Amino acid sequence: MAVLPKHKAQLNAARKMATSHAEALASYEAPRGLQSLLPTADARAAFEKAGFPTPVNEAWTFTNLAPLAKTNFTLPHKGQVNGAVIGEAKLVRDAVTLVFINGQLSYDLSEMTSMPTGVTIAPLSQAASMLTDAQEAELKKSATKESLTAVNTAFLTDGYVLRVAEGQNITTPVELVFLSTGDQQAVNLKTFISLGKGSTLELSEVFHSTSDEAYWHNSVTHIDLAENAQLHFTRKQDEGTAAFHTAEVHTTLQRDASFYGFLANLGGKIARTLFDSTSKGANTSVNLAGFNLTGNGQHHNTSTNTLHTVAHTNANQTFRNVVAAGGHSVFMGKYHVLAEAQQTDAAMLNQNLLLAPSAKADSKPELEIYADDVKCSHGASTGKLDETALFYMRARGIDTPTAMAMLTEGFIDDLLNALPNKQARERLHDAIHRWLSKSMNVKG
Amino acid sequence: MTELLNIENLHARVEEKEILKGLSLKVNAGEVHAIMGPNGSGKSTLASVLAGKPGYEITEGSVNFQGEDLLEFEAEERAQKGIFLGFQYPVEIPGVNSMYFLRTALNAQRKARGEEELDGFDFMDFIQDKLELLDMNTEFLKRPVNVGFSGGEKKRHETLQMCALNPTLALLDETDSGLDIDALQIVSRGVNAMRGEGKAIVLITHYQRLLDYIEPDFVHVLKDGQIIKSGDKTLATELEKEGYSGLTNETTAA
Repeated sequence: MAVLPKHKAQLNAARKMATSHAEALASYEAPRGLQSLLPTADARAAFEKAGFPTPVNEAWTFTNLAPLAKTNFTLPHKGQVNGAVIGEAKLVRDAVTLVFINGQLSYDLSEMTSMPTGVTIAPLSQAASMLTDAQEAELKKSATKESLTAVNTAFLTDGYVLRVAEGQNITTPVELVFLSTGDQQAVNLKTFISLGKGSTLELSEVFHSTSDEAYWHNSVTHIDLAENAQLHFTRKQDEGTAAFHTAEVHTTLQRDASFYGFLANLGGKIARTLFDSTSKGANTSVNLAGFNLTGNGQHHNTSTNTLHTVAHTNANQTFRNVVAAGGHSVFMGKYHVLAEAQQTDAAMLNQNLLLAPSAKADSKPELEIYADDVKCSHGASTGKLDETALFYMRARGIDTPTAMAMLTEGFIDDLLNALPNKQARERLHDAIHRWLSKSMNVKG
Repeated sequence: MTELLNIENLHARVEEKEILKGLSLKVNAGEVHAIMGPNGSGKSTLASVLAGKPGYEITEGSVNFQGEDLLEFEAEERAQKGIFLGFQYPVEIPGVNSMYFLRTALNAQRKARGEEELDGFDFMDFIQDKLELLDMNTEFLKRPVNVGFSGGEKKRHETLQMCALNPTLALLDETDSGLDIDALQIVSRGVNAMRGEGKAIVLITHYQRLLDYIEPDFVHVLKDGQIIKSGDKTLATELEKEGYSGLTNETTAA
């Protein structure tokens, strides 16, 4: 690609901002248990060389990270939060829960007594010995990846390692709560999850805040599903109003493995979640659902990239986004089917609902298919609320804001049926309801 | 006799097309009126204008409901004041179940009247006898509003809403179209249960058949945006035999 002068200027600016970001955090020291594993110096150099992502990069066409890049961040510190905040943030009341505050595990606020047999979980900083060779290799090469992956390694706060032993059907859900206390902190999280052959798990991650100040949660997650393993993975991003949230979830599936992902974005100022998966064995399935609820001044980007490398794999995804006045929501989805991946069955659907003329939604569904015998589809639509349905409800005495909220709720609510956990369904339903009541000014 | 509704010389248009061209109608409490007329005569427009559907421009005339200028109010306010429109084509609302929809509507109206709102349990008690009257059960309430309903189910659902909301004035827009005799009987049972002192019903219909089940006090013929003839129920039988084509503007007195 020819580098245009305009692009060059952008790149230089992005590099400069990366350097000043790195300089501001110069007193960083890697967690003691990871110092020999983390290529922090290489990662920092790679980050400064690449700079913050700019819209020149196709993956960032719709998402401008300049407000993030321009913010002066600090290294995370120990924070104090009230236990009640955890209750508000949590999706699954009965789950085994690990609470991270500003990226550091809080043993006081975590609830790990009912940890089921077959599950091992520990903060990454204390679990270097738990990593598989492949995970260790992944950690070492993280300096060579995209700039946000590099900065994640260069200034890693902590994260967690979770393993489920072979053949274990875990019935107690596991939940991670990541809280920030604001203060311009840049928190970098790295996570390694692996499910052994034939095991199952319900896992959820929640991102929340006690502050309306700026901060940054940058997380990189690696998930490995062994043969016939099954993971339900739910992610709720409900960060503070001035927060930046960037996340990558990389998943690898061996034959007969199933991944069920649910990505919910409600909070934050700029939030981008990238999910990518590689199906390495036959009869795998990658099922994704989720929503962005994007209000005034918010930007949410959900990107997916599903790679099919062998024959007979399945994928399915439905994302419904709701955008209120002054919000901007982005969906970018890609099915990448290699020539060997015959009989791939993959469907993708993105529907956007704009609640006001100043609401904005971008949708970029993509198929890249090299096999000749596949069933792949994608669809995208963007529209407003159905006027006839609105009138129908008003003709029954329901005021316009309530009718709009109910219709919108109806638009996304049935997605929640994809969640296996009733408590999570109810909590997300309530969160949707609250968001709508607020955005529509519904009178109590 | 208490006057509920008084429409005088009503002119209404959609975009550039005038549809109601000086329509007048008086409805008193306790009465059932049937408005009949050929396709395109303005029957549905009249219902829509009274219910406050956006998109209609009133260019002349007035509508008075219980002493207030009805045209001043938003659709939801009209409903809260006791006007109910039974839709010719009930609208599907995916993702919103009937119980949630109906309870929200009922509570919105109760709240507007300063009455206490009903919680889920109270609502189930409240709705039970209405369901029975219409040969429906609570399973029905769990379904998304009108989604996948048969024609008869949609109209029974409209009737259920009417019985629950208990309006002062019910406007039923072709509630009978497309119904088989069983469904027609059930819907009529609901409508007849609504009859009573202090209330009125306006049936908009294409067919005389409905009037075998719900006996009107007055029948009006709407043609080309005006009521051209009014009479008692025998007028409906006459129309069935003779058709609308022979009618000309003989009288506008209701």
